Amino acid sequence: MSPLVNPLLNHSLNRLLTSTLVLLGLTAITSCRPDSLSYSSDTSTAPGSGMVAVDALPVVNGISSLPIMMEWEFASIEADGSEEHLIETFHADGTGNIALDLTLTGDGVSAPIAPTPDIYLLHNNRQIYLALYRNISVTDPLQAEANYIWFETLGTQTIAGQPCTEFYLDSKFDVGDAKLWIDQNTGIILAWTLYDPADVEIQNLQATLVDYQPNLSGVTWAVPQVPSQPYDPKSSNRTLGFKPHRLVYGGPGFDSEVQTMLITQSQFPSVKNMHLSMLTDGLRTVFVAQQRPPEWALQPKGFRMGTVSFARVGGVSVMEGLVSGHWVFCVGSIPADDLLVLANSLRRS
Amino acid sequence: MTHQPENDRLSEELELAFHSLAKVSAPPELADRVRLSRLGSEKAPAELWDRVEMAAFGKVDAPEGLWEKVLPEVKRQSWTTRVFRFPRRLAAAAAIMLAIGIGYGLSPWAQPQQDMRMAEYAALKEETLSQYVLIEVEPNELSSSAATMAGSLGGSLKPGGLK
Repeated sequence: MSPLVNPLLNHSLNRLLTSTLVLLGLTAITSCRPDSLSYSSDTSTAPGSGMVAVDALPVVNGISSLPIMMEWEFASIEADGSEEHLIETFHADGTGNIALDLTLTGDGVSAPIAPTPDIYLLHNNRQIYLALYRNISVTDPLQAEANYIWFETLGTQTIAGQPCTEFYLDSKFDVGDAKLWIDQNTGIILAWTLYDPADVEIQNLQATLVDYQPNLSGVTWAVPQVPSQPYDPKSSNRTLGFKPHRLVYGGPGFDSEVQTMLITQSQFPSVKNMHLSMLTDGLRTVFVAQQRPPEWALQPKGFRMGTVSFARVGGVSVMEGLVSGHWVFCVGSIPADDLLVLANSLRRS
Repeated sequence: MTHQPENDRLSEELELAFHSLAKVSAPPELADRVRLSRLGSEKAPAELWDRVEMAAFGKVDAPEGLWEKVLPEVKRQSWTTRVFRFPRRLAAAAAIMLAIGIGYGLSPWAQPQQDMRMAEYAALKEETLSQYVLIEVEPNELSSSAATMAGSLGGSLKPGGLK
């Protein structure tokens, strides 16, 4: 090669190298975007206009943590789109006593009507669970932060006359997103909406009246329908009549667990006592319950595929079947597939 | 140049004479000559001669018309490259960004623990679904215990649903 070409070629190569570096640098910047490291549903891109990612979680207080009276409308949406509306009144004295009364029911189309006696009784028997576990609350902020990407809608919205901030929670495990409206003064959730993984609304609640200085005289506090005791592996198995399996895996972010024992036979002799694990991903609650299997349930010999039944009731998925030798129930506002993963993580302890 | 072995080593007399000179330096020309004489018959590479010759020319313009004559040959042996003009600072910044990008890609943060959890979960879910047959039933076909638990988490209360 002629010596005269060398400087020209070197110069061009330098330019080429420089431009390549710039392009690679820009690629590197692009690859450093947080959402490029995420899965499809796990994106830091704001899901709506006027929303910004939240750096630190807001302070959220449970509805039973202070004296309060609230009226709200709860709606559960079936898979066919039909709705069931419950208009309820909630009281709490801030020391653990709560009451949830059903005042009206409806379908979201016609005017609400007074509940029938049997519906009222069903509701009354479940009021503690409905108030504490159906209602969305940030029970574990660390879990809620680990399992959801939080976005805040800029500006203030008014719910039941209270200034609220709206948050959108993007589920990292794709069990369904959520929206919360949190009272800016008290940290109480005054409205919420739950979605399924396809972003179809499955449940919502909105307060219509809030009183932070309620008159609690005359309130009949709820008592548990079924007596329960904390589960102690050393002493509870005799009462239960079997040794429950332990959950070895929290599935889609349900790593917080409270174990209890439901003494159902004391009230309903035909219903065997249950071991109940109440799991939370920081926002939703899932029940995993175990019972001695019914006599008709055949224990599989050797390996064969298990069979479990599931149904969707309102926004709630229910799964039951024989898992690892026990009759297992899984219930929660997440898809049945995810409930099955939880059930299948039960192992002999 | 011819190699003269007698120059390789100084005589004792000459060495003493040099020592007596103390810190007096020899003229640079003498040092050059000594170095050249030590090279003996060694030949300098052609490239070195080219450089020396070019340096000796100093800044001399090529004869008029020479560039036009060699230009076709230069074009024949070279190829066209689009030249982008980038300031050096921009190029340096790009290089730093590239280093950060590569470092980030290779670092453990590139696969955060959260993403690992989701990947693990997706694999476990697939495995679990392969071990079970899921049968969808009507809500009123569930056991009373299952129905009660569903109702406790907000399952429907309406007639035809859970009771």
